[in-house]
Amino acid sequence: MPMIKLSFLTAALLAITLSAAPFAGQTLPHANAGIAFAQAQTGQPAILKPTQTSVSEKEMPADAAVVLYRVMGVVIVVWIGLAVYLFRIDRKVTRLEKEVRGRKQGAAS
Amino acid sequence: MTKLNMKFISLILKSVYVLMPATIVMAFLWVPPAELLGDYSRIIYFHVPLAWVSMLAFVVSGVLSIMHLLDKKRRFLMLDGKSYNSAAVGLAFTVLTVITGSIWAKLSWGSFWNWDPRETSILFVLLIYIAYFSLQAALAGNSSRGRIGSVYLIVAMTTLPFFMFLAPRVMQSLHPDTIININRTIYMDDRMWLTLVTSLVSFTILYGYMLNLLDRLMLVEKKIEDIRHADD
Repeated sequence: MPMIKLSFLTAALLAITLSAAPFAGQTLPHANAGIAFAQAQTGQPAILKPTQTSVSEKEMPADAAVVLYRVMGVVIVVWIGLAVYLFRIDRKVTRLEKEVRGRKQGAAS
Repeated sequence: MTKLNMKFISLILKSVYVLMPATIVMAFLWVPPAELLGDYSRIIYFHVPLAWVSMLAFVVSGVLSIMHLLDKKRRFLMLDGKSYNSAAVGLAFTVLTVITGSIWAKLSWGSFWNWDPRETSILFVLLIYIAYFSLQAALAGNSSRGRIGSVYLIVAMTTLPFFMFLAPRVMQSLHPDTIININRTIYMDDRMWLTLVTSLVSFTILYGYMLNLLDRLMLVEKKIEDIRHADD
């Protein structure tokens, strides 16, 4: 069934991609987020306040930047795979629709 | 629907091919990391839109089911099949929501699964919709399959507000409520906000595109079957 294939392929592809995140994140500098949540629960509002640094700035450790680029690369590759799959299905369905329309018009005339 | 409208809708749906890579680049490179969560916070640009789309898909399937039951004259084609497709896409997105949530839980709380009220409630939603597909498979060939499935999807939709909004708020949860919190304020940087909105739009269009493909495929299958029957 193409529908089931489509759903499960999407799930599998994105799951594989995102499952790379925790392993990639092992080398990233991070705070204790559990404490962060607890602080947020007690009224500190700035949990999503950005840091002053960004990926392009030099303060970021080189290995962390490499990991970030690697994870992004994996996500991009998975997206390309999914996009190609969807595009091919779209093209095939369009072709089938045209054939069916042609046959119906042929039968009518 | 006119040809121009259809072309316009098709153009919007195909914009996902541009929007999704843009979202990925924005989420990883453009947006700054959050102050306390660091780079882990980037998962929010995937987890939140996935959760949104899964809820949207289930609501759409419920609404289509209502339309199917009310549409006695069958003015709309195969509404039960369309609601089935929407639920299928919703189920895939819910699985991804659970997976991304578990990854985030591992990073934040130290464990993939904590039986937090939010995690437990989404598990219930997942089980409810898995049961729907079991029911549909069991009723294959039954003439009442569409109607029974529609009733099930409507009942399933009515449980969503309880599981998604009420239960995690009634019971204490570690799950952050940071997007719109108790002060009804959005504490997000402009770039974070823009990235989240772009991601929400991209995933919503992706859902629309997948649903459109599945619906078209289903209608073509039906037409081919009709032609075969006519030939016989």
